[in-house]
Amino acid sequence: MLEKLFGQKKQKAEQEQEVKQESQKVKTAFYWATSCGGCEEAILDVREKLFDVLDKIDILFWPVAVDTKYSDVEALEDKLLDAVFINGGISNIEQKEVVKLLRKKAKAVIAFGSCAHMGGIPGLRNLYSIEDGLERVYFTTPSTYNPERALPSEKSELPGGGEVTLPPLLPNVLPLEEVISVDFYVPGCPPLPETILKALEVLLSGDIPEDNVLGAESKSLCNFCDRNQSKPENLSVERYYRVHEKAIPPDKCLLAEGVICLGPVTRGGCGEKCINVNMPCRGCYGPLPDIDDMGLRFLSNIASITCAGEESTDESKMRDAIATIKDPVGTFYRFSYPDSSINKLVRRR
Amino acid sequence: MSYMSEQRIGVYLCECGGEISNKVNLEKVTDAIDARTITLPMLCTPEGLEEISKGISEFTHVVFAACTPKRIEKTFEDVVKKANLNPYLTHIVNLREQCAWVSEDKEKATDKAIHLIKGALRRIAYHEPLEEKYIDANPDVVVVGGGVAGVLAALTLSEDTNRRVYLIEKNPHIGGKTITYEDLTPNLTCAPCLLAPPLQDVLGKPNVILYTNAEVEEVKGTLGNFLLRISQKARYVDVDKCIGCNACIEVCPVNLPNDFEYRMKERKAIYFPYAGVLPNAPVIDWQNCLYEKERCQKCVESCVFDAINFDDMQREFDLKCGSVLLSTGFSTYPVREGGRIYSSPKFERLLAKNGPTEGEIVLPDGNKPKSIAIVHCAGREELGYCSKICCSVAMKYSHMIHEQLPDCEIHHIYTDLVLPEMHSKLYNEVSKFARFHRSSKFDVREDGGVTVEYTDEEGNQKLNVDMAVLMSGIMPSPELKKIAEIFDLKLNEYGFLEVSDMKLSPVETTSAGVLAAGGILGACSVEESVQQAVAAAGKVLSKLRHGEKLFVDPKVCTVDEEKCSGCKFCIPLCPYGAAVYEEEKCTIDETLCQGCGVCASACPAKAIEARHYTTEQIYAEIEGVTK
Repeated sequence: MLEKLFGQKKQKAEQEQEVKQESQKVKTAFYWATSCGGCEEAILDVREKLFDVLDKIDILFWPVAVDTKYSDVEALEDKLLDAVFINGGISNIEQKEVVKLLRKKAKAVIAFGSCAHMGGIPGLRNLYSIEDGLERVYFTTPSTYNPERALPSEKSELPGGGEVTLPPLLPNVLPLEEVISVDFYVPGCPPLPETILKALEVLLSGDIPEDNVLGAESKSLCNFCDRNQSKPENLSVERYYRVHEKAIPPDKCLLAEGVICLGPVTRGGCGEKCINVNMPCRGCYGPLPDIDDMGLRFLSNIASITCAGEESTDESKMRDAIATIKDPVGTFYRFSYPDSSINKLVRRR
Repeated sequence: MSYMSEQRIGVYLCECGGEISNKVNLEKVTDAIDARTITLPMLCTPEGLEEISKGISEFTHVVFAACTPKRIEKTFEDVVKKANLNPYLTHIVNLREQCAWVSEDKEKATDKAIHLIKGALRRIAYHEPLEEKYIDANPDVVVVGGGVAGVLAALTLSEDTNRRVYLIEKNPHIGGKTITYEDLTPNLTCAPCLLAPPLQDVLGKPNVILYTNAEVEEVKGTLGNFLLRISQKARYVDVDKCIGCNACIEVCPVNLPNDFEYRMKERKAIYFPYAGVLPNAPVIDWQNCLYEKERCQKCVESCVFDAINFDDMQREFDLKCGSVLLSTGFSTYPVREGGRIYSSPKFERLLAKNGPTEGEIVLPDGNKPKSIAIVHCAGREELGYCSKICCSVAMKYSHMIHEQLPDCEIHHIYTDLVLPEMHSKLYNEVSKFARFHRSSKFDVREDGGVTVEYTDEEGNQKLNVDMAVLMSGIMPSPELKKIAEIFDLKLNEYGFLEVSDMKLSPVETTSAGVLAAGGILGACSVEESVQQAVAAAGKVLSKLRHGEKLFVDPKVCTVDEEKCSGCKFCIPLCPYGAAVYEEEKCTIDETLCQGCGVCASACPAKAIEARHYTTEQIYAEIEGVTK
């Protein structure tokens, strides 16, 4: 499929001829599930380089950009689609049905972006019941004005007659791989244009890493971070800060300064965008190759460095230090809660 | 792993002469496990071992289900090695202590045995052959503390001229406390006469390298292979060039009280703490020297040997050695002294011929005392123990006072007298002229003279004397805590260094290769210090033999460079200083690593593997045991 996609080995004239033939184009589909739309924009961020690709591919389905219906997909032969890119976690039955349908029609499925990869930020709703989640979103957030206490329902009468239906929510947001089998992953929230191009390159070369994660590095962010040199060898943190609580000099390791930075467990390749603007890594590029549960791994790492300098193991001091970590789930599992062993365990029950 | 497909795992079951087989149904075990089993009455007897060596070559991996590995590991290792099987491809399951001896229930014991063996079988499938390495042991020794114990140990060790001895002394001079005394109990030997020759001797030894003004800051490694970080304060005087002529001292314009003489005498900013000090070179007290403030260079101008160097700097350097001997001494209980009340170490200087009064016993006003009270056990209650040497020292004081001032009244206020053997002879003599008052309580205060209040059998008593000497108890030196921390040693309940066994290894600490002697271990006399020092030197000589190779355990942690992101998490966690950050990567020194695995569990990237305790091996074992 990828020879078809890029076909750079072939002569240009030959290539052009091929492109003319509709059947020879790479057949792709794009789909968004529970996502913010950032992943779609990330594709547009590839900019002019996208045009090189666009005339070699045929987009058979892309709800955000192309007017196609589910019935069009249903009508396709099985395994007709060469590559299906899906972003967003799966959180309602419509999405579940659509991705299952796409899987049936696809040769390769690519989980694109943190939400499809690990559940993403929407996955933090797995901490609550559907009812509590709706209550919060529709009634109690500081920015909500809803005096009629309107709630979305599965069926609504339209004022001018007729009705609309909404798909029921699933009790949890799921990473794509828990609903259908996934061939490749492109991490990031959203994936960087460089990551997307690199992912395509990797697919093209066929030199696919064992873990099928495309476009990212296999070493942690620390390896690429300019601040790592400033990290002391006797790394020890006595108090943790949220980003607004402490001014960090731009050349200092955030973690050493007490701001929880997931750099040590997160794949590099993101261009250190957050670090460069003095924000800690929140882990959107996902865990390093050998790590199953990045939040858990990093919790254990935090345990290792908290009051590590204390010769006497003063438990109360350690407890005080740990107590300064606010919002532990949101900190350690910002993008990966649905992919965590604890949430998997809860869901199984 | 390619060799996994060719694995032939064998299990040797030991009946242990009924110890195991009476409690664990070995036939049932054999039926339950999926591997070839061979049951023998006793694996560790010559017949058993013979049987093993006959059959073992059939297998690639072997599980021994017998007794505790502590007892049997070495024996099996030898058999396995003889059969050309890598010993790391074997595993021991403890059926005796962990199954047979801890249960009355045969069924449960058998069940546990089956689970443990299943765990071992799963685990062993992931075992890899490891290569054993041997490195040269470093025969050199670092002696920390240049008092009588350190110096005698250094001298003993230096007799082996193929061995370097580094002597690290915190002060600018050596000789410790002993050299500051005039006479020593019990037979009143002259301390400087006794000690000056060995001190000179140690300075002259080509294989003894002395660092004064120096302290140990950090240590890595273990027996045979230590790396010590030493920091040395600037002396500003080149010991090799200086001949100790005193010219610089005469011209120095600064006058200060001399703390080494308990402020009973003045000194200059460039000074000898006391006369006859070794090495025979003065030291500059930088804080009070006028060089920085006023560019005073009088001493430099006066020195014809160019020995004074104001550019001298504090420096840090590393020393490699195979063993460390700690002899940093003790300190004395800080009694409330001043005026006519003397602590015992201060009184020692009053007695010393090279002291502030040249050995004359005089009051601060210059008059000779007509009566002196020697109060025993100062600080005993607070310290919680008897310092055992002070009574004899008090007898020595009595003797020396009486010799100099025959008419001076001498009173001893004591609780108990601790005067064994030779020391009691001194008492017999002193008791002819001194008066002894037994009292459990005392109070000493200065009021023109000195009033000592005490309680004896007849009630409260009051004694007015010209001078009082408080026999300060012996206590751990203040720097001992830091030393214990650096060397990862334990302190006993009184804060002295703990030895690994009071009876059988009285000079060995709880860390392999670290020995100790003298006051660091508790109150002791000079002769006891020397006994311990020489004993410790003997231990070093017997443990660090020339040409001896040191076994490096292959069960260490290793870093996969491909995975390491250089995040430095492992570095502060390593208790052995084996993890270091070099060229943007973390590496582990295999000779320092003890295989504890702390780094492996903390590595965010899982780049570190604890050999022989890999995640796969541990998970496999858990899986096997719990299945």
